[in-house]
This record gives sequence, structure tokens and C-alpha cells, in this order.
Amino acid sequence: MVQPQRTDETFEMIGPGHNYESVTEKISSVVLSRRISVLWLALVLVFAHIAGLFGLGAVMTLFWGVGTWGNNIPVGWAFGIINFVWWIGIGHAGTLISAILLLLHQNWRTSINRFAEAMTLFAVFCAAQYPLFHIGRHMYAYWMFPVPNSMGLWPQFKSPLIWDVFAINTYLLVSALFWFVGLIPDLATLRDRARTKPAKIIYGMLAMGWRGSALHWRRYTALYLLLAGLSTPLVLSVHTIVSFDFAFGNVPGWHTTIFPPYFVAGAVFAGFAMVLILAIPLRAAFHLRDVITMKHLENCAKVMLATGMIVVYGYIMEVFFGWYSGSEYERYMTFVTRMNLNESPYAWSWYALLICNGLAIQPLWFKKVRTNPLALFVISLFVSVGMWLERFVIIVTSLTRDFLPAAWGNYSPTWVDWALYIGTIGLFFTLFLLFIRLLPAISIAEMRELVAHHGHGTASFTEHGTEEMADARLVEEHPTNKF
Amino acid sequence: MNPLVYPDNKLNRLQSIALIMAVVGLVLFVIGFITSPGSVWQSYLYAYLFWLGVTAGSIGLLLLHHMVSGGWGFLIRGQLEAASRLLPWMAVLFVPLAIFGLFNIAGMNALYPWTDPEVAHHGVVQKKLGYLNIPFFLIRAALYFIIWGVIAMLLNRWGRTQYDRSDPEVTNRLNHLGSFGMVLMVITMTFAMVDWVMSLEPEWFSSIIGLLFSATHTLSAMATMLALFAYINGDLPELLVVPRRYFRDQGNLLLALVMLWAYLSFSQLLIIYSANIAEEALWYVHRERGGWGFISLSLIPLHFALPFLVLLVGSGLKQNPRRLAGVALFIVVMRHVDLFWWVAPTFRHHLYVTFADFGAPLLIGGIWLYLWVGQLRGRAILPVYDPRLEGHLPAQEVEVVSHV
Repeated sequence: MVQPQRTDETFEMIGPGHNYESVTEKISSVVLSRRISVLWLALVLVFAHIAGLFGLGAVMTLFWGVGTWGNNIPVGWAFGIINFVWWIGIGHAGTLISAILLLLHQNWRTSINRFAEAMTLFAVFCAAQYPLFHIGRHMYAYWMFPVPNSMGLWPQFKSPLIWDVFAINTYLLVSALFWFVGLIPDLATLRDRARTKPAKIIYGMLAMGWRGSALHWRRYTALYLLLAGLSTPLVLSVHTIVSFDFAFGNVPGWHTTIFPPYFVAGAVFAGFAMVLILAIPLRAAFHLRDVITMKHLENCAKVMLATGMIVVYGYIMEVFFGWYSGSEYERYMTFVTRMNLNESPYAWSWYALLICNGLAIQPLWFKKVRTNPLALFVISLFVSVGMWLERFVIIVTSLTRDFLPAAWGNYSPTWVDWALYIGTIGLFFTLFLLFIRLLPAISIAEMRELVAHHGHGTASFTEHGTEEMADARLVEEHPTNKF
Repeated sequence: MNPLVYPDNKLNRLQSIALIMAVVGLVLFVIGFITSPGSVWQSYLYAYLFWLGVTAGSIGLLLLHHMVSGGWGFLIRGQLEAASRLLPWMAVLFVPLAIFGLFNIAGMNALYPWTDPEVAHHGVVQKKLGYLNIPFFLIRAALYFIIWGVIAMLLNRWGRTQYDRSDPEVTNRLNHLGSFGMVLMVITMTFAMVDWVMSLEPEWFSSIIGLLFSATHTLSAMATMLALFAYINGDLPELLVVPRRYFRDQGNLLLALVMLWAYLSFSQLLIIYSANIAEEALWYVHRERGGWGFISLSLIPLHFALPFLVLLVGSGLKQNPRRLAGVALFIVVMRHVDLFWWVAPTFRHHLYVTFADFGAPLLIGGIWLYLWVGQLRGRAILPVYDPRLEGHLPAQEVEVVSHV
């Protein structure tokens, strides 16, 4: 077994000296190693305990009802939807990286797409908890689906909230399929390299009989491209519909036409921040600096800057059109509820938002910052907080001060709200930590392809045919693949 | 050494076509002026918006190209740069719009209703007068042209070196200009469109307008440039030294921009429709009644579905510049219909067209095209010293040898 070595930073897509064997070994050894590192175990235990907070919050909610949350009239929607939108947004980067960058021939996606997709699935899973627990009567959850039933009851198809149900379920399904299909060749590699019987059986069943024949590869590539095509509109549709949840509601600060592109950009922005938050420790802990290289970090930083600037543009538009609309409600919302620190109890959140999402990303204009992992990590934390604040600003400021002063109110979250929120963060990281130990966090098959394209491939493979065939050969040479 | 220049014979013919366009356009515009003097500046505005869109959209495409270096940009880069150099002329063509848009002259009402004290001191409009007033409008317009002009100047000054010599410093500088310039461009275009389009109905507002017009001007520019590319360079085998995918990428960008138009336009419609507030929905009511509903509905299949499907499934089509130009020309026509639909229903409560509606785009287009061809003469087609350009380029080989 190749011992993980300390590796130097590189600006290439892959460090020097790699061949098919070494990338396979490097990535699969993380999963197949029998050693359980103390750090990993400690982190899993910590995050699992944090996830326990979610369980506590959920029990409270189920036992005593939604009244344990801080929701009230007029703020009928609060932490539940804030956290829901936050998590859904984080998921977007995974789909963008895996689908859109594939269609755009951006090869640098290769070493980050796998864990970014896993991040998407876990984020959507965390997001789905909030509507599930908010409905109050969980036995009727299926009413959200158009199930023909004896009561003749149908969902309200005109409501974007119902569109959300469809959009998110489709998103979850397609993302899961995309992720799993991408995993198949790697599962076969794990099956072939596994040393224990149970591991061989489990990975073998999941690999669905993959033999790496040319025909398999042909069908695999066609399917992968097709799923990428299907996922691409989903990146836009999901957050567009989430933005409709607000923009359709005729509330000052919600009803504005910039919301769809602004929400989509914000989602990708938050998602790339989370990709960096996950990638930077991951590459350090597992010595993957030559696989997730500086180039990847820098490109993620560039995408973060670009989408962040669209979000800043959205803030400028909200302020300008708040004024330009001429509507007294919009103007009050923009200039008093959100901006006036003396008049409004929530104005702090708007300024904090500008600092986190507007100011904190400006250093990314400089290459020095974009190639400094620590700086990127800190900025990404700011962005994650900022994108949470953005949803807080939109939801809480608008609902506490709408049209009639008599209907104004205030909002503060309860400990159950916080437990549910912090609990999902624990849940997310627990799932992610389990994932990196059980499945290859970087696509082995695609890394081999990258090795082939970068000319590091061993000559004995490439001289016999195309690079893709060489790739297939590598899997085939294993004794179990002779059938 | 850079031998491949825009062919003179094609340019001469194009310039003749441009002259004919301008003359026919002028005649129609004058007839329109005599028959329905009240509406000629509406025609002028929508035609101006199209050609301004092509000019500013070209600047936008250049910035995007220097930022992300897509394969779609190398073949049309010279054309885009030539278009960006016409910006001063677009400022000149703006003058009549500023005069007839803002002032009542010779019995014709000003185009922008907020200049009328009756409208301005009424209802919600009076709250916006801090922004919608003549001096500020003119200051802003000057500012837009100065900012766009500076960006265009830098793009051309630095971009030019990549046709003559290798200079990594310039490539780097252009890359930075791409990102900074894009931020400035989108912000200024947003306010320009609030001033020139949105304020035609001063009660109305829609915060998506900046992104919508930034995207659609880019679409206008891309479609126009692809149509012209096929005409000028369609049968130049020397151009085949570049990778085939450059041709495909051009079609793919056109497809992406068509989709962006549809996405942004539909978002605006659905959000305004769902809330049904008087100040906002009225804008769509103007585009629904009096025969306009037919145009509104036709935009969905013709501006979106048809080009979308053709570009999506036609992978062979995207490889063939001449066939792609057919789609591009169709999009150019639909861009005119779309801009006409943005401007005219505000004034015309029943759908009708005037001679000037046809004259204005031909007139401005003819002038634009004539000047544009002048900018192309003697220029090299490919920026062969752009290090991101791939292919078998004679100049680059010389460069490699000299480095060895």
C-alpha cells in the first residue's frame, strides 16, 4: 500500500508523476484502509452529538407541536423556511459542478464533483426536514402529493409551495441518480480491491455487475451525459421556484422581479462556499493536495466571486427599486425596516449581510487571496453566514413590518428553533464524514481519464488503443473481470 | 506577420448593401414623418435600442470572452471590436432621441411622459422626480457613454496587440478588464434601460430589467455578428485552421442566450401576473389588448421555442456558419419584434405599424453597417497572438521557433 505522502501545492489539475495505478491507490486507500483515524472518529462523534440536537428538536416538535417554535402571527414563516432555503441553496453548487461544468467541458470539475454531489444530496436531505416538521400533522404529509383520494382533495396547484414539492423531489431523484451512476465504475474498483468478504459483497452488489467493457463505457457515457442534461435545468428551476415562494407573495420586500436570477446566483454562491469549506480540510487531512489542487480552489473562488457580485448587484437593485417603485410600503421596508438602526430591531442583520456577502468577498479579486487556502476557508465561512442572514433579512424583516402598523410584530427564535438548525449542521457533517470513509470522495474513473489526457498515463496502456479503452483495460485486467 | 484579413470584395458589397438600406430607410422614415409625425420617435427609439444593443452587446461579449475565453469568441473577435469602436457614433445617434424624447418640439409630444408636468406632478410619478428629471437624465446618459467608451477604448487598445505580437502582460490585463468591465457594464446598462425604456411608463417598475436587457443586447450582438460572419467569412477555407468546436461553441452561446431571454422574460411575466398589482400589471395589459396580445403570444414560439429547438437538436447546423446564420438572422428579426413590443404598446393602444417602423431600423442599421465595414477594412481576422487561441496558426509556429 502506498503511504499517503505530504505533497506540494500545484497549479495543474493534477500533481506531477501520477499514473493510473497511483491515482487509484491514492483515492481508494482512503476508503479501504482498515485504520480508523482518531481525528475522523472524534469528528464523527462530535458531529453526531450535534446532530442529536436535531433529534431533540424533532421530538419536541412532534410531542408538543409547532408551538415550540418561535413562529407567530405575523411571522408565520421563520427559521423553518430560512434554513430550508439555506440548505437547498448549498446543494446547488454540487449540481452546477457535476452537470453544467460537464456540459461546458470544464475538466477541472473532475476531482471535486463527487463530493460536491454528495454535499448536494445531504444538503437537500437536511432541507427537507423543515417542511416535514413544520406541517404539524405529519400523518397527512402525503396530501402534498396529488394522490387521488376519496375526499376529492387536491393540492393547490397555483401555489409555488406545491411546485416546490415537485421541484425538490425531482431534484433529489435526479441528483441521486446522477451521483450513483457516476459511482458505478468506482464501486467496481472498490469491489476488486477490497480485502474483506463483506466489503467485496456490498461493493459488488452496488457495482451492478460492472465489468468495464467498451460497451459498458459507451452506455455509461451516454447515460451520464443525458443525466447532466436533465440536471442542468434543475439547477435553475429549483431555486427559481423557491424565489417564487416569496415573489408571488404580495409583501413589501418580497414581490420583486429580480428574485429568480438573484436567488439562483445566491444559491450557487453559498454552494461554492460550502464546497471550499469541505474541500480545504479534506485535502489537508487525506493528503490530497495533488488531486484537489490550487487550480480547483482558485476556480471555485472565481465562481464564488462572480456569483457573489451578482448577489451584490441584487442588493443594489433591491435598494434602487425599493425607492424607484414610489410605493410607500416598499420604501418603508427598504429604508426604515432594513436600514434604519434606530427604528428597526432587525436593521443589524442587513448590515451584517452586506459585510458577509459584499465586503468579505472583495479580497477574492486578488490571486494571492484566491490561492491561500486559509483565507478562502475564512471567506467561505463568512459567505455561509451571510447567505443565512440574507434569508433571515428577507423573511423576518418583511413579515414583521408589512402594510398595516396594527399587524406589525416581532420575532425571536426559541431554543427548539436553534436546536433544529444547529442539529442539521451536525447531521450534514456526520453524513459527509461517513461518506468519505465509505465511498471514494473523488471519482477514480474520471481521475484516470484526466491522467490519460495529461500524458502521465503509462505507455503500455495507451499504445494499445484509445485512452478510454486503456481506462477500461485497467479495470478489466483484474481476475474477477475476465467474464 | 498576419496575412488573413477581411476580404475586400465582401466588404465592398456589404457597404453597398448598407448604403441601400440607409437610403431606403431614410425614404421610409420621411414618409412616416409626413404621414404620422406623432410616432416616428417611437420607431426611432426601438431601432436605436437594437443597434445600441448590438454595439454595447459586442462590448459585453468581448469582456466575457476575455474573462472566460470561450471558443465562440475567437472567430468573431475582430467583428466585435469593430462594433465596439462605433460607440461614439451611437452617442451621436442618441442626440435626436434626447432632443425629441425630452422636449415638445414642433407640436410633437416628448417621448418620455414624465417630462410633462401634468404627468409628473401626479400620483406615484411625483415621488420619482428626484431621478426622473431632464438634467439628471442627460448627465446619466453622458456618464453611460463615457464609461462604455472607456471600456471599448481599452478593449481595442490592448486587444490590438494580440494581432501583432505576443505579450503575456496584455493577456493578463485583458483578463482583468473582462471582470471589472463586466461589473461596470451591467450596472450602467441597468440604469440606462431604466432611463430609456422603463421610464416610458413612469409608474411601472421591474427590477429584473437590467439583467434582462444585458442578456438580450448580448443576444442581439451575437446573432448579428454570426449573420455577418457567415456573409464575410463563410467561404474562407483558411479559417478552418481553428478547431471545429469553435464553430459549435458559437451556436451553443446563441442557444444559451435565447434560453436566458426566455427565462428572464418569463420570470418577469409570472411574478407580475401572480401579484396583479395595478402599477405593474398595467404594463402587460397594454401588451394584451388592442391586438398586441397576438404579438405577445407569438414571441413564445418564435423568439424562444423555434430557435431553441433548432439550435438544440441541430448539431450539424451549428458546425455550418451559413446555416447558423439563417437562424441568427431569424433571431435578429425577432429581436426587432421584441423591442418594438417593449416600446410601441405604451403609446399605441391598438396595434398598427407605420412606415417609420420599417424605416428607422433600416436607416440606423444602414448607417451602422456602413461605418462598421469601414472599421473592418485591412484588419486581420484572427488574434493569432492570443495564447488561448488553438489551432495550426502560421504566426504562432514562427513564435515557437523563435523561442527555441
